Amino acid sequence: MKKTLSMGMNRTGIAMAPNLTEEMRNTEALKVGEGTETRAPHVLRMQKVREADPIGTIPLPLTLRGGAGAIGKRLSGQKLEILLDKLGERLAFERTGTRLYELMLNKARSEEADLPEGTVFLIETICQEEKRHFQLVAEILIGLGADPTSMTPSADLTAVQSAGLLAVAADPRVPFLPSLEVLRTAELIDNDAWDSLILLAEAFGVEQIEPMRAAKLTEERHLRSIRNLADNGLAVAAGLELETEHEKAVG
Amino acid sequence: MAINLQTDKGVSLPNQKFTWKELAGKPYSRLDIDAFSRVRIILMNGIESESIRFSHILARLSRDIRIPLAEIRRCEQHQQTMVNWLNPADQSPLETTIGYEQVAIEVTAALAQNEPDPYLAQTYRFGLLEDFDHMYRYSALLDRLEGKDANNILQSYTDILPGRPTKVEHRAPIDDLRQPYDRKHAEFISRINTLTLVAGEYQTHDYYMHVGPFFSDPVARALYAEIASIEEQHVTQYESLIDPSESWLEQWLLHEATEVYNYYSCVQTETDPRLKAIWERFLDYELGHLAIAREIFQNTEHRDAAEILPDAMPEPIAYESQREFVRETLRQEVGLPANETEYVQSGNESVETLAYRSHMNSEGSPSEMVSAGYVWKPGTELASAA
Repeated sequence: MKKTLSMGMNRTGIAMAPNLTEEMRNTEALKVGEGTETRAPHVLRMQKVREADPIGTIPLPLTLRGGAGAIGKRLSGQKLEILLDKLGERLAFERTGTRLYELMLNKARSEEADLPEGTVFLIETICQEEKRHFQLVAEILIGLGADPTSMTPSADLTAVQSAGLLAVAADPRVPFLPSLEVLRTAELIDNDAWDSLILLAEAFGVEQIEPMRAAKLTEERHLRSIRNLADNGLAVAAGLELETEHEKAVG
Repeated sequence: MAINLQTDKGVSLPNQKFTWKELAGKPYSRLDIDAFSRVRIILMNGIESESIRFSHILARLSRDIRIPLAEIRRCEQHQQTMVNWLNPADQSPLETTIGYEQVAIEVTAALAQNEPDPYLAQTYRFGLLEDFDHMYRYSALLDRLEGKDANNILQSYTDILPGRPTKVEHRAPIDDLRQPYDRKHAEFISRINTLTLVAGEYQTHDYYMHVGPFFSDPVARALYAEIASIEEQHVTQYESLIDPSESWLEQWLLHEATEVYNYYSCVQTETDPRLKAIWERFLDYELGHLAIAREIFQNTEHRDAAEILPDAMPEPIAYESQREFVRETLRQEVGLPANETEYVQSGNESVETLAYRSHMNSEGSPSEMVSAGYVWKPGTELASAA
């Protein structure tokens, strides 16, 4: 059964219970909070920020293989761990991103008849490309003598961020088109993150800079495709004829 | 460190104090912590949870000791908080689940090797192979749903391999009930081993029941539903080893002694100085609780606590990889099911169990589905094509 957005008995807002809401608000007790100092939680949080230990550390590179020549020249005074941490983050994101696309592929296949032609192929293609990006980053880490199976601090944090994306993608109650918002979010993150990573990699003299730039171009295509699919989907759902940014761009 | 369970008084209860800041203290780094420190934290949360649970049940049955029970329980509550709040927020429920199964595997294996009663030891090994399989299924889920490697939690201490398949662990209730030890003959270590495992399995069951519904993925929800059911079976199993003729106060004494033993084991093996200080503090607190329970037991039942408690502490739990023992147990016993209180050859399960299992699995097996063809590889399945 197709799950289209419809109007119904959403009970979350006060307009659904005007009398009960009036009863709730009709009390002097609600005025007690006015003027009370509310900074204490923020003060505690700031204190905790100052006191907190780091999330964790980066494992030491085993050796400096492969690009050691170029990297070696850069090491003096520069923190290789920043590069390793961000590579670890990209690896984790692409790896989880592959699973994210697999979840979306399930939805696309389930609703194929109701989706624009080529949607399943598009999602399959992007899924495979994300996997190749993960494998590229793993190769870069190995070339730097790092362990691609370890979880860096930024990899850990990106997993926390991605948890919400996975939860929506995995939820069978959310149809394919609204679920596309998680892919839009993921691709926006991915694009910017690749930009930052490439800047860092260039500065450190990473050998595989051209494959990284190629990956970024692929990510740009991902974002355009997902954005287009999502915006067209919204238009169709709303019964509108909207000119998407893509359509404007191509005239 | 010499602990005398019959005479040590530890820290008196009025001096067992906390502040909220202490309770919600700094969590550990899930990247840098040694896996066995996490194992100790998870187990001790379970030990405290069991202590509180038992205290509540005893309070329902015993008016006269409600005050000391409530006073001790208040401290146990805060000990449990301080221990459990060591867990950081960046360790997801599924990753924490991997940690829980590592506890079940490594601690059960350690206890089984330090268990003098052959029947009890076999029961622990029986449960071990089932928790071992749960680890494999959850690892497959972590890889295939979240794109993460369970070994980031396990740190290569524990294998990720199939055990006794979860789909055949579903038994009729009668086939989860074991033969209880005889309190007149059971050794002290046997009684605290049993209580330790009851505590561990109970908290694991509770944890899966709590977190299962937070997953949106239908495969994850089904897997947690299936494995939570087995964990309840494990609680039933280990609990049934307890001699029901033990008096309530005797059981209370054993509970406090189990806590002392477990904190002692943590102190003896902990490598993180901050955590070790917590274990030392709480060992002293538990000795204080034990002293109270000892006095009430002796005054009420007019029995010497030395009937129950040895003067010397048994060897601590060995918090180290039990890989070879687990592999050997897998080789020897994976195909040995249970029929009522006995372990039997394959093909000799009860009609009730076969009928129950057949019905439960009749619309599919989540544990089979989630891990079909799964072989652990470093860096996840996606790394295998690199």
